[in-house]
Amino acid sequence: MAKEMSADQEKFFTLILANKKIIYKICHTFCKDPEDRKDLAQEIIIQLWNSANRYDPQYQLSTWIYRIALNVAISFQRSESRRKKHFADSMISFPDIFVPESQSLSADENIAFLYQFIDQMDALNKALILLYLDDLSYREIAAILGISESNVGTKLGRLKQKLKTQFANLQN
Amino acid sequence: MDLKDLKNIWQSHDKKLDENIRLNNEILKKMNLDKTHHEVQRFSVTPYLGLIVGLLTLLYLGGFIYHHAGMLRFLIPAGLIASFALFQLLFSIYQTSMLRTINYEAPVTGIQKKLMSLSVSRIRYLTITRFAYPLLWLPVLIVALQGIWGIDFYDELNWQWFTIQISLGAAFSIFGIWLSFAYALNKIRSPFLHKLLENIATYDITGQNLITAAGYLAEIKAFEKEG
Repeated sequence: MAKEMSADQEKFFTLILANKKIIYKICHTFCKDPEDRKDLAQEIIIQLWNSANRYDPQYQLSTWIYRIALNVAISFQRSESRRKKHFADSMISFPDIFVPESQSLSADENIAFLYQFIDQMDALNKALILLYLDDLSYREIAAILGISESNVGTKLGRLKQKLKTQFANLQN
Repeated sequence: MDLKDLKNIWQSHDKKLDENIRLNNEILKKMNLDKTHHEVQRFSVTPYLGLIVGLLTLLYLGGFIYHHAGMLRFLIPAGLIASFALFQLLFSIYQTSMLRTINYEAPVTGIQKKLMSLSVSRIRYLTITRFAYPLLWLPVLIVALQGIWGIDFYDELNWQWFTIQISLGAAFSIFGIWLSFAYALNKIRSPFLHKLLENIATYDITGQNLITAAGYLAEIKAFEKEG
């Protein structure tokens, strides 16, 4: 029989619901494999729950969520043992937290190109471009990543150059 | 196409997400939210275990040394084990104090740097302990025989056997530590030896985990750097 949810859990699930897009996009940016995505989404939610009582209201809620979710995602991506574990468990399939994914989402060619472009980056640059695409200000990006605003600008400038080169290569 | 175009694509994707994804509430409710198995937790049991084992070993050895004062043949092996236990204790204290400073709500680069530093120090610690065992088993045997059963190891000692054991243990430990710390895999030219060492790399005898962790650490530092 399903356990009764506490008021705290109800409140927490409302928060997750309101910010589901952030978790979804981070999972899709950091994991190509659908099984990995499910694991990552669960890890992010668990970590958000564990950190909920330490939330500092001086930061925006979205900043807090981005920080935790990105820290978990980067650690997840770097964890080789997890990849090995996943390989061992690859025959078992768990249900996804996100349902159902419409065909139109993954069939979008532009989005496919975008994810392909992001996929070539290292973990920190992935986080940077994701925050930029989510329309966060340089100041917010700097606060989430822990680098200066000018450094954010420089790095985005470099990514712009890289994108131009890649796009030119694609056309040739 | 530039970053602004990508942003436009992303924003239209974002709007579609609103309509197309929903959370699987049943799965969410069934999730054991108190289950924690992310990277930090992986480290959290080991240091506390190290603290307890180190403290208990030092306490026992303190008594043993007190009761065998002036008996050098017991004091040397007991001293060796005590040094190792002290090293284990100090490392555990360092790790537990580092763990207290890690919280995932902090800026990404700072937390990732701490996690990687923790990982590097943990790998170094594991390498040292792994290669210390061949040297330590004999002192442990001497102390355990005397301390638990009152048997004097030296009474029945074959010195030739003893010398071989000590030499082999020392050679294996020194070679192993050198191999790990010198990142020797990259320096080995023989394809056969390279393959062999690669196959046993799960034990990190070749220092590959250390190379990977140190590489990530360098990557984070480079990302933080201006310009």
